[in-house]
Amino acid sequence: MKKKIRPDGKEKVTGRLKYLTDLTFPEMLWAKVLRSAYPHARILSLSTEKARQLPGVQAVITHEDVPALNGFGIVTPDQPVLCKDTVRYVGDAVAAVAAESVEIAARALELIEVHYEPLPVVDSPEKALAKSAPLLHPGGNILHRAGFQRGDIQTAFSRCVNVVEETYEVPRQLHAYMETEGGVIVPEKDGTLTVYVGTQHGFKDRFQLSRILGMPEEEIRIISSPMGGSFGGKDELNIQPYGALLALATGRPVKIHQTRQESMRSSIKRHPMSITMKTGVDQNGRLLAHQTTITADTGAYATLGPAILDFAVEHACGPYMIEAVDTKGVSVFTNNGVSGEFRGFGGNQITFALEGQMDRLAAAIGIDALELRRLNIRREQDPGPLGQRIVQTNGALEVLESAAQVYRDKKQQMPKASEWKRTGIGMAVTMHGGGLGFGRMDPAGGRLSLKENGKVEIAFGFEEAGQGILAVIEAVATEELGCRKEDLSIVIGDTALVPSSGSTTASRGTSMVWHSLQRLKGSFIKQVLARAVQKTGAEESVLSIGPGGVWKNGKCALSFESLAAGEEPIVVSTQFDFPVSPDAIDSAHYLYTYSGVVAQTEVDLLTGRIKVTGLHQSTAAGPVVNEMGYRGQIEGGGVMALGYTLMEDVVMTEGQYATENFDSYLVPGIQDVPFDLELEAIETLPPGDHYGPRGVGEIGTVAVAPAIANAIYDAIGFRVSRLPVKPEAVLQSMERGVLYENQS
Amino acid sequence: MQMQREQGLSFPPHLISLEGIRELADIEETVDGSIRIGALTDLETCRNHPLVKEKCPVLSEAISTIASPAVRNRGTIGGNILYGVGDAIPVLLALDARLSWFCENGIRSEWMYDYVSEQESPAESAILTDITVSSPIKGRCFFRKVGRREAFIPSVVTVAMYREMTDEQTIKEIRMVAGGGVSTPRRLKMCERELIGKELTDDVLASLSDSIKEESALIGDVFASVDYRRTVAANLLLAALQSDR
Ligand SMILES: Cc1cc2nc3c(=O)[nH]c(=O)nc-3n(C[C@H](O)[C@H](O)[C@H](O)COP(=O)(O)OP(=O)(O)OC[C@H]3O[C@@H](n4cnc5c(N)ncnc54)[C@H](O)[C@@H]3O)c2cc1C
Repeated sequence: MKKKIRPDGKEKVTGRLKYLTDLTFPEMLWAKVLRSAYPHARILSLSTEKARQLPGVQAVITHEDVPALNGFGIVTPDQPVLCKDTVRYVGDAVAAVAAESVEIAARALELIEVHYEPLPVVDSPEKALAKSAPLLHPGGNILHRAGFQRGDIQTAFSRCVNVVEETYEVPRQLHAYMETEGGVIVPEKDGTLTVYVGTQHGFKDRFQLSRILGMPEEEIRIISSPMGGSFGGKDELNIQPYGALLALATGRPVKIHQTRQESMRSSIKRHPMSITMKTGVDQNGRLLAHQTTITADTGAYATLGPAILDFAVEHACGPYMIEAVDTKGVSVFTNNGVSGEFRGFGGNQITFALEGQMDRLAAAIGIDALELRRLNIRREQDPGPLGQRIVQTNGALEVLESAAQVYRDKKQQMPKASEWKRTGIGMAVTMHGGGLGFGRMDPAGGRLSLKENGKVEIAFGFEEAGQGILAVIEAVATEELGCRKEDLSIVIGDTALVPSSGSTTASRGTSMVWHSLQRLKGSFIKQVLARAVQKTGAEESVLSIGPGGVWKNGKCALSFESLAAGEEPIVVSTQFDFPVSPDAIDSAHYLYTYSGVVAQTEVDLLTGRIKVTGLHQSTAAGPVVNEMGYRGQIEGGGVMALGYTLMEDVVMTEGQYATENFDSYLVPGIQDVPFDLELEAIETLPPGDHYGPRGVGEIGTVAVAPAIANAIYDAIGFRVSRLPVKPEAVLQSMERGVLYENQS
Repeated sequence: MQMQREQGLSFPPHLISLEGIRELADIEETVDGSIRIGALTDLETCRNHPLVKEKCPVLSEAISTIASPAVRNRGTIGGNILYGVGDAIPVLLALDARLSWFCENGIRSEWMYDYVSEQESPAESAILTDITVSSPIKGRCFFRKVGRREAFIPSVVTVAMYREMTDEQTIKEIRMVAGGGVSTPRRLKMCERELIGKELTDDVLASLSDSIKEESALIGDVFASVDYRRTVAANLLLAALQSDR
């Protein structure tokens, strides 16, 4: 029953599904965006004359053509739509062209004359924080500081019998969605604009575009599903403003579809961070003191940089109860691309450090790493990581025990090391907050209707980016209402048709769909049954909604069609906020999910290459809504994190991308994926929990890297502190001559 | 050449397709039992060909590591060699293959070693017609490609080796090759010379490691340094020799 085929599955695997970037319209033009030649420069002059004269070019726009606010950014609009005098990264847009063909548009870009005066490139947070650093923004080079303190850290350290300190470095990861940014923007006859471009939050895009175009929001319609992947990467605006400006300038539909190279250059990435952790225990293995400093390279503009740092700060002590905590974070502007939202939202970075500390500490005091975790892990009723009240579950301990069992079993069946290979096993656990957190506007909502045509329409402002929200809506709606999937009409991804549900981020979709249905179903069912009473004359108490319509005595008494025929539609709407902690602690989360990961690796002693041979995730996130969807998220997340651990890194040198395409930026292929890929869903919730299923969009990515790192240590005794793990570092770590020791 | 185009490197304004010359897309056994591979044979056909699988499995193994099935269905063995850094080159060098060219004044044949050392075709307009590998292969062959992921990946290091032992367990004949990345695969002639007539004692192997590192002219980049590449080449070749003892 729960192993259902997703509604959009068949069309996707057969290639029949039309993505928004597949659309074409009559009279459509093609657009391209000219990006900065330098990571940091002043624009001395900008001339579009020659480009305009190229036959086939219909419009060329620059900063002068932005009617209202020349800026965007989900929280702070500090990124120019089109740069006027300064460029701060190589993805900064300077001009855009609409032409009769993509080739003409590309040629026109070459004819745009820009004279730059290169400025010193700030290509690392250290340089940005130096006293002599050029200031990248009027407010300086610090985007955001965040911190959390509990207890007296110095005294706590002085009581520790063992203290471990390490600095962890994590890379800039690319979302690597299949479909690069793009779509078509259509100027309608009535002066409105329809934007067919993938996004994670149509209403937010509408708001941002209205601010740029100086157009009322109601005159902009965003159609944003389906899209070929996002993972956080398309939550911020990307090419929409250029398409919109050019469509308005030419009065014709404009298509933009970035090439992979253009996407690599302009898209946001996961924040590289340098995290120093100092953690101490007493003689019994109790964690007493935990000090963390986080430096995040946020790149040229703000986007969600502050929230991501807040998230990392909140999760710095993860699921552990620690007496004294001192966490400080700083997110720093540089000329290195733009860092922003990415599945895991700062949790992946901090968890790699924290779980690295746990293994190091366990080794330092000579106890089992599992035991150390068990001693310190939070129990039901313990407060959240910032001391806030949270929705209580026993998830942390449950995933730990589940992973512990897996760990023991796998360790017993560990394949024997061969002459040039060593095998190892490692584990890690984590907790991960869902929703945007306290103090952030986090509205949700939905609408349920019985339409004139007899369809039960369920509408949300969520977007389908491949994550499976359609399958979730179908599963929850059929289960809660009792109808069949054939009775449903699911409407999402079109601001003209759907209510606002907030963003499709922060693992909130599944949870918010479920909550909406809890609020909608009572009134909806009541109204449907009332009408059935009217039409059949039966007692309400003997009627219920079932497959195809209203049922009586085990039979369908009245179809939805007959119920709806000739009547006004029944419409029920709800608006509410994502649940937050009653404790007013900024950005603190309320609903958490938990994960325990066991990884097995094989290290090649000759090449230093690591192969992950097994990955098992135990996830506690409430009831499973759709088994295939859940598995897809956890396994897919696991593979994405495997890439993060072993190969993915957007390398930048002096503000320029060294990895420009998929020939040098590597994502795992099927051969890199362990055959042994498993998961255990822990569905139990305490009695009386009324928060239902939690989302699992992110949790599968969070604790994989440290589990692999710990498995590498188990195999060869090498402590990984930098991702991705370079085979070179592995080889160097093994002493010279290891080749000969091995013979015996 | 597709890679060159994607990377924005200089690309010739005109291309001539050789695809129609079906005669050069075949694999056959010559009268002396050698295998002759037409230069236009696609990599996938070459990899799966019964003659190659039976008489020269190491070549089949090497080709399996090139790109993906889709690319192997289009790319030819000749193109792989002439592109200068193809992963089929090390094995063919280790097997001491011969190349035949169609030039203005007829067919010319040369050792692949000579071609690779000089890096130029006998004449600008020459067409590579076939590659010949002597068979039966008497000694043992070894091949390994290391990339930054398991498959569909340019090589960081590619090594190949051919060796034949005497009855006294000394080395009779050996050819070692190291390449990878943008480095042209090269025979490690000095190492080879050092080894001829020697027994594979610990001392011999220990000093060989440094010799291999020294002689393998590999180029580094931001993803893998020269040192790493040389070390891996040495480790792999040494391990292969050890497994012979
Ligand atoms: C995505 C991708 C992945 C790749 N991965 C790998 C890899 O893992 N390992 C690897 O080794 N290579 C790889 N390649 C490179 C390449 O495609 C293959 O090596 C292939 O074998 C080249 O053959 P081709 O027939 O396409 O040659 P072409 O690219 O058409 O030709 C290469 C050169 O040789 C010349 N040439 C070709 N045939 C002849 C002939 N008969 N006579 C004279 N001149 C000739 C051409 O003029 C050209 O200069 C990859 C390529 C792509 C696109």
